Amino acid sequence: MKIIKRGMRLWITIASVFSFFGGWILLAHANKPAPLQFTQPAISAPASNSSFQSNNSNFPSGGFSFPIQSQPTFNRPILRTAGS
Amino acid sequence: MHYDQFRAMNSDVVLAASSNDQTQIKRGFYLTREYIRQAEQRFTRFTDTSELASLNRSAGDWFSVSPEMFQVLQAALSLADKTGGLFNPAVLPALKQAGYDRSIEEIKNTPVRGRAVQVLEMQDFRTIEFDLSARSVRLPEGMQVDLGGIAKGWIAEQAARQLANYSQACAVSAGGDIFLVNLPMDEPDWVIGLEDPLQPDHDLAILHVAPGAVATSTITKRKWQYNGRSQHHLIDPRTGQPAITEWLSVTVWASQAVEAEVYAKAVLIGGSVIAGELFSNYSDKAYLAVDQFGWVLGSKNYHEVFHV
Repeated sequence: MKIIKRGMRLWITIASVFSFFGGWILLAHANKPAPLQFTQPAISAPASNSSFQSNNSNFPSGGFSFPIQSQPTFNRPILRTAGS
Repeated sequence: MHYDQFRAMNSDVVLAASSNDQTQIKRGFYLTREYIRQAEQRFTRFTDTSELASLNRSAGDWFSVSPEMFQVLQAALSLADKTGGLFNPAVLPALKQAGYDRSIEEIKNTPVRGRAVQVLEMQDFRTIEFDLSARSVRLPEGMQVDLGGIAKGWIAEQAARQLANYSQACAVSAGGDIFLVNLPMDEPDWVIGLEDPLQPDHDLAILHVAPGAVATSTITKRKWQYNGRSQHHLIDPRTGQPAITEWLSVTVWASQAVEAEVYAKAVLIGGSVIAGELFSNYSDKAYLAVDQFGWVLGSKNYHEVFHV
């Protein structure tokens, strides 16, 4: 019985080690994903809501973002642009 | 600075003028008001008697138009081309289908029910034909045009140029589409509040700008409920549905009001990728966009134009 138990343990250990290294080698030699490339047509399907852009590198126009605190009402100029 | 405020074009209109001659200012305000009211009658789509309504009824046939209508339609065609079709005044059937078939005052507080929204095949405004010698236009069969935003910008600029005859410096603001002529005496620039799209009672920033045009396009103002779903007036011509935008509002400075208005709309619909393309070649225009977190994003050259 002891011999069978030891044999089983040994078999599981060896199988695990070989599986691990086998998987490693397989992944190391697999094809790498190509970097995403796309061209923007003049008119394209709308993008879904993008995630929050917090730095320059995410902003294709080369612009940047900055947070602004709303100004209190009493400081407001009469001319205001708000859209319609 | 003297001010006159009233409602027109379903928007708040503000006239601002500086001059030492108060009689001239009063006369200027009166004539500018009249001009705006008459122009509104010409370009509105909410009355059957307007020139625009007649033009839409004539789709498929040649239609002789006024010099004003001709000018706006030509500007619209040029800008539709420059924006790659993102600006498309032929979205009227889609707007009506989304429930915007009456003035915004009538629908914004009353949930509208109607037929289920279907995907419409959008017509391309760039297929409109012009006959310069006869000052006529031909809309393709079935095309229906809404000139709301571009007409408002155009009217603001024309009105401001008229008011400038009675003042040293002046501005006309029509629902946030502003045209500025000359600089107020002893002032280095014009001061304009950038309204917070999420808190209309607050300004996000104070902008200092040179004479020219400032226009904002937003999805937070003209919105309503249709069949239980929230809708807004900014139709994406690629889908025929209210646009899904990454930003809440976009403000553009340009030398002409129609350009500022149309580029603001196109950038709001197209988002950051389109913004990068549209503004990469234009150092004489700049934009500021506000996202849903209240962050303001600027074009590369924003600091040359908007002194925030």
